[in-house]
Amino acid sequence: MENNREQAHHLWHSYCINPDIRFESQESGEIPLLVLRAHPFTQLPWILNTIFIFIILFLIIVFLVPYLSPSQLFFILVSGLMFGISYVWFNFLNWFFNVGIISSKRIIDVDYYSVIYKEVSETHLHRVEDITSKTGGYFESFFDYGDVFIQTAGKEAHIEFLNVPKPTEVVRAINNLIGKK
Amino acid sequence: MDSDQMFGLFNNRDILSLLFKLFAIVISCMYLIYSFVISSQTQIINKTIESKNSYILSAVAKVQISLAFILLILAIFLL
Repeated sequence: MENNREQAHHLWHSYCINPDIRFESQESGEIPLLVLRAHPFTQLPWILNTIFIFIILFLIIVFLVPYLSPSQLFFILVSGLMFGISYVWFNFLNWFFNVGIISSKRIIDVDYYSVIYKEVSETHLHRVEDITSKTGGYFESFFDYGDVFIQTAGKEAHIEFLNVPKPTEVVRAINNLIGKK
Repeated sequence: MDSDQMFGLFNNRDILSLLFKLFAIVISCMYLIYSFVISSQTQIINKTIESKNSYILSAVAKVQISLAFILLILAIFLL
């Protein structure tokens, strides 16, 4: 992966090889090699919720037509649409910025809880002791996504990449990097 | 002015419309505050991963604030 600098973005940018990005704590000479996000299939619940919200909005407006004025109905429509779009935007931000980054020097896990709370876990490659991937269930097997657990030496926090695509390849990539160190 | 005339000033529909307008203004103000929070958070978390397309995320956040202002104006002047 280090020698081949060709970019590739798979699965709607949930598995990005050699991405053209710069992350916050990036050191000089450090190259991001792999950026991981949760598999798009795992985002289905909030997508379905969004569809449900818009259906409910439509039904509410249809139900309230005899009782409200046109301006009130228009306001309900606009505000309902904006709330629905905000819900989509909120969940997209949550998905987009919860990333795992594997660079030439470190492994970094950035977690945002409700967009507001941030937790960053990182470890240098030479401190990685054990890497485990777990895939279980029908959908995980069918869509090839799972969890990758990285155990580190000493008192450093363990790193978890949850619901990432191609967990086996992620483990292989990290092992290759460790092997080169 | 007798009591019948006083109560006749506000019929049920007017009271409901007034309550609806008040509720709409409150909700719009809360949404405006939410938009500002999300926008500022977007600016902060954009620094987590900077790419060529980061400006799109900032632009969408700003559009959200604009829409929140429009919603507030609609609540105040349209209803």
